[in-house]
Amino acid sequence: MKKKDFIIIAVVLLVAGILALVFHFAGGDPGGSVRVKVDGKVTGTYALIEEQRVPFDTKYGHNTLVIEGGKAHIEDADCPDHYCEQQGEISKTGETLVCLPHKLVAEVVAGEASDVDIIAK
Amino acid sequence: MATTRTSPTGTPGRRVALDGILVALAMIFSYIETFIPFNFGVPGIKLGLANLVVLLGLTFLPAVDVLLVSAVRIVLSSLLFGNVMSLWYSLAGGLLSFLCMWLLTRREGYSIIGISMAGGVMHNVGQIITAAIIVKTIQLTWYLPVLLVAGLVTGLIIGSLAKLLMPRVQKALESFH
Amino acid sequence: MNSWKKYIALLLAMVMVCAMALTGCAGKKSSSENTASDEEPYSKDIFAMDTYMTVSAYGDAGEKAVDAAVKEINRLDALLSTGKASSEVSELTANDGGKLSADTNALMDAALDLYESTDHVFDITIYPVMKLWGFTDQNYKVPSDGDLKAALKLVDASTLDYNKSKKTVAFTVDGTQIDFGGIAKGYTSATVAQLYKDYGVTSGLVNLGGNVQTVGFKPDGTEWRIGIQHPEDENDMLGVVQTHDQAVITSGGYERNFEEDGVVYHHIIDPSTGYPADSGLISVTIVSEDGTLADGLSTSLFIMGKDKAIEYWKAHSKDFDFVLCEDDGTLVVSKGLKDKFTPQDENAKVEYVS
Repeated sequence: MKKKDFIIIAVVLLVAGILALVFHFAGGDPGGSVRVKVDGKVTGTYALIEEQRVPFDTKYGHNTLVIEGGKAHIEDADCPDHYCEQQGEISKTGETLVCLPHKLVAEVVAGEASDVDIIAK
Repeated sequence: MATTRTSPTGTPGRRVALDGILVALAMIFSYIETFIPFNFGVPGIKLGLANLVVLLGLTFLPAVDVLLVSAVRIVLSSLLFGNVMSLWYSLAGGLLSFLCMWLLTRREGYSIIGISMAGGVMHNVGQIITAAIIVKTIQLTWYLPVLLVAGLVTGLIIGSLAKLLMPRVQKALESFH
Repeated sequence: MNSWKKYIALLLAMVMVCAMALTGCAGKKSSSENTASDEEPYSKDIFAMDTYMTVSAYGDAGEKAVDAAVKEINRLDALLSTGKASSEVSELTANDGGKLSADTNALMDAALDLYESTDHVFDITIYPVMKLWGFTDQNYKVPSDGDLKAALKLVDASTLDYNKSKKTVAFTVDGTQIDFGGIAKGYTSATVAQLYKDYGVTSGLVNLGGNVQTVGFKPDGTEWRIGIQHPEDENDMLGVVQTHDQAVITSGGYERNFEEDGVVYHHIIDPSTGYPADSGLISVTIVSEDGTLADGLSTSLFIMGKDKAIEYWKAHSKDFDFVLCEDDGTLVVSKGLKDKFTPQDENAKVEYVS
């Protein structure tokens, strides 16, 4: 190999390294957003990249959608069973959080591709 | 520039014959490649054996012939061993890789291994660009650094192979009159 | 030299044109070359049967089929809901039996078959006990022993005087209450799957609150990848089942439960004790072409526990396959899923039963 070959290697590794660092520190833009529906009607769509707390006060009750670190979960629900708060965090396309008593559904759209088509639970 | 290459093209008949041989050879490599379970634990990364033909072809054939060989190889092998989607990925990768390697062969100071590595990297860059256009997302971006390094490694392997084969190919060409 | 360049340029152009023409044609002929994400399904979501449902279908017939499916689900919900006084099930309970419609007749038949085959583990007369625990209206409480004993006396599907051909049932014991909840969603998803086929839908997915029914293959021709919820970590999966034209139904104590005095009580009640089943299994997944069966067996096998579940499967291995998760994390997988099930945790202990 010649000297200039090593320049190619160095340049490529440098670019790859910079890209990797950028994506690492940017947390990798999840690109997706969470679409919230109440009783089947879309009430809003919220980007997963933005840290935010969105309160929902509907005729059915109160829930807060919390987006942190590219994932969304529900807090402060005043539904009787609080299952929506126990459903964990969602970040992959098609994943949902459901609050049945409040007819509220939060679903990830255009997010990180999921490994599965659906989850049986 | 075609006529100034190291090895004279010879008669039109000889040139067409060489083109044909290279297409056939590249097809065989594409076929063999389907048997090689070479991956970095990441889908979509291939060794790129057929690149060997492009690499060697650039040393003794006019660039336009090599481009043609490469294009014919990609279309045929995509239809035979791949699918329609893989055709676009391969065409984009093949074209970008070819352009890069051709430009480097015209410059001094790069060995065949270096040229091969640059080609390998650009091949993957071409595929990423195609993917971004087709899938219309930027999800694949984290994949890019991985693919860049992967292209470097596959390029190194193919380039080393090319270096080993070069003297034999030169010999064979001399007897091919 | 010049003519050569022209000749080669022409050839190259032809190659490109051919490539475009071929991709164009093939793309139209079969969408199977495209990834699934290229084609969007027609999809609707509804709240019914006390859960959240999404029905989706690919292809030209998708929209009509999905709309019809939503109607069908609402119709069955109105028929089977124990919470609506006007439902057929409520009226049967109020009148101690009566004439059955085609759907309730099919459900009654399936329910009593399961009652027999599961050795009385599956019992639609469990409703009074479920009510006592508050699982029917979310007024959760641990019932007193006396109340539980009284309610358990009413749990006995063999007291139902059922005539399949005449489509009638009579409750021979006063106070008997029935609930098809244990198979209603499975029956509904199977009905929707049949409806899809009637409409010519070859690719679709029905999700009735986590009860999954697949119709055909994915639009790209591959099998559906169905994740199985991890019973102990809501953000994790036990594994992935690849399947087509089958229902995948999982039951576990995590689905519905409440805590009292530091003890967690879940909704899968063992009819022999009246208490939440404690069989050493924490999740049971059934994969079957028969959605009704899959739904009924997911809770039944959960109650039976590992050994009886395996025994049951050996006697009915043609009808279904299972993935059991034991409380120590061991996965028990029946033979038919050997190549179809992939555990999420590579180090998970997996036993295959054949």
